[in-house]
Amino acid sequence: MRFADYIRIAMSNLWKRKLRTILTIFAVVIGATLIALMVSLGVGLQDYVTGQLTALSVPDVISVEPKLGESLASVVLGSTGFGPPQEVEEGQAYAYLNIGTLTGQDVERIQAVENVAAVEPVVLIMPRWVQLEGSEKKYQVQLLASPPYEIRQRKLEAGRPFEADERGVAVVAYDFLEAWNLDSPEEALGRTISIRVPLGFQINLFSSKEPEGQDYSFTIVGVFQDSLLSTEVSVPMEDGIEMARYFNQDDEAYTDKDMGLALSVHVDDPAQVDAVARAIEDLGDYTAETAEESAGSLAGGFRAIQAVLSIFGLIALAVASLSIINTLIMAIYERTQEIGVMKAVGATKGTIRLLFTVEAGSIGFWGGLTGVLVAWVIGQVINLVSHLTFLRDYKSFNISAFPLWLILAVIVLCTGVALVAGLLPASRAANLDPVEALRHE
Amino acid sequence: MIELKQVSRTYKMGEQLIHALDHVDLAIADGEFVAVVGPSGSGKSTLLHIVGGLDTPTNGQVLVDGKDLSQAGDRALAHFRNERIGFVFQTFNLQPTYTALENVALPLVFARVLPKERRARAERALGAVGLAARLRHKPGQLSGGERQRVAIARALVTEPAYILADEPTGNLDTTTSREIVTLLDQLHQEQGITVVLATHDLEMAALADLQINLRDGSIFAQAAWSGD
Repeated sequence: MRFADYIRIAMSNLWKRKLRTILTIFAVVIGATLIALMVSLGVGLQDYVTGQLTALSVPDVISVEPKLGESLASVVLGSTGFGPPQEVEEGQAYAYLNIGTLTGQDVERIQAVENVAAVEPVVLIMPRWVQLEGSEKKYQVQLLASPPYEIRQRKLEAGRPFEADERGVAVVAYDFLEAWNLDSPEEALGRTISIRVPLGFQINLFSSKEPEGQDYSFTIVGVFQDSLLSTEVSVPMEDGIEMARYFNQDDEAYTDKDMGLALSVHVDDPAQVDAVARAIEDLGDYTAETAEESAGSLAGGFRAIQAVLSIFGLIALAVASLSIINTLIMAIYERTQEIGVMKAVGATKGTIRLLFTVEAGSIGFWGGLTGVLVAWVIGQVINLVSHLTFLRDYKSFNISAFPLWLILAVIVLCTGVALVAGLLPASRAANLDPVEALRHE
Repeated sequence: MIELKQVSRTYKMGEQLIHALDHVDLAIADGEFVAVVGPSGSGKSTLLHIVGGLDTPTNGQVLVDGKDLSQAGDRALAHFRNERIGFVFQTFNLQPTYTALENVALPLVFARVLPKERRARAERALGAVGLAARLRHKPGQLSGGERQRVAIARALVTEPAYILADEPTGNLDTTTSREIVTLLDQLHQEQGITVVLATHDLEMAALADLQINLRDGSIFAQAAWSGD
């Protein structure tokens, strides 16, 4: 028997019992839809976040933090009043969280690691706002002090990164253009912004009194490409440190005495990034994470969420496979005589087995295909609704995404499950005694 | 040439052993029209099933064209049935959802014949049984005699050497029965097909060249008709 005939006969047999076939396929559709939708939501999120992360991070930079002496749980519990009392030393920074800071000694130790080109502190500043000169409007801002090796590798829409010895210049996020009523990124270049840095860490949740602060002026030299970090302004290290010292009221901030909470380590050979990270961890006092690792751990998290959500789909698919077995066994009873005739006119056991296997596979195939379609439609609705509501400002972010591999994987999975479900009925049909089958009414 | 040597076929019905065929020796030459007669339960159907490779004997040898069917496997038997045998049944055994043409073409599907050729050959076979005008009809739209003609066309379509007809007139009235048996006789005469007709109707059996009487699984009489 030719394969085209298997398909034709299987389809015609399935079509003969429309309602039952459709109900069976529907069971597969539920499983396929669940799996496809769950994975598509995960893929959408993962695509977006990892895409953004790769756009923001630079591959040859390692983020180094001090290893926590205490377990994180006890530190957090202690700081919130629940854990064991945590000892605090006088003059210790960030006493509230009781996390040790890094010093010039740490910088020297890390600098000594092979292939390390530069070590810079990660400067934390919390400005009040950013304001374009000539505009009254003030906007929240995420201020970063970027070392030259980082800013050089960032993707810019317009302008240029700043050089190592430059001061008073800034690269701003793409999203500010709209806020500032600028028609093109080029228009932003050369304009002046001022950034208000408050005196000390302010949480004026209930106070409407503007805290004391100081304005710092910068000339825009570049505009970042559109990204997740939509309120970023990057300034040279020296400017950042100056603002941080004012913010902390501490002239020794970011000196050898106190290098803050984290360090940015530049590796001279991108191929050695992993080796350098491990070498830094081998020093014993630090945790080191490469850009790839931080993207990877995020991706791992998404995969775990996808897996958990997909389990419901797999359970539905398992139930659907029972339904397929049931449908095919019913079909054998109905078509016993037909099977007898087929054998009488020349069908082998293998022919009958393959015929039922193809019928089972078809149920899975159509169920999988329909499921993917249904999931795609639901995904599009989710994307549409989210773009109209809570993701109004993130039009490029689709929660649900359907890459080709996902479509194919779901169809292959459903067809495969159905084929396995078809094994038992198919061999039962194949092994029917033709004489008995012909006598069957 | 069909040769049965000491062929027995026993079934188990609960605890009881049933001897459907009991040490049967038989030879049917090519081109003969043979009637197997006997009451129901005499083993007519079993004999046809074994000759047609649909059933295998418990003991003995079945030689068709010199090939021993009792030793053949599933694939060999299926190919044998497809190429050499055409079965005709009492209950027609047509697929109710298929048209006459599709029913007749079914054996050619298993012979891996291409659709276009299947159609042409099925049309020819239906023409040979006088149903050229009924190609698109489904069994439900045909009379009993027409249905059996479709079944005969299905048996003919692979141009087999043997047609094995098991009570083909059992569900038909006398006139139609006579037409069907006459048709079988005509195929035998014109195309030289060996026809084995199982029947309990002696009037139909009278049309055959040779009559084999079965009783309780054994041949007790064999008579050649020299007349017509």
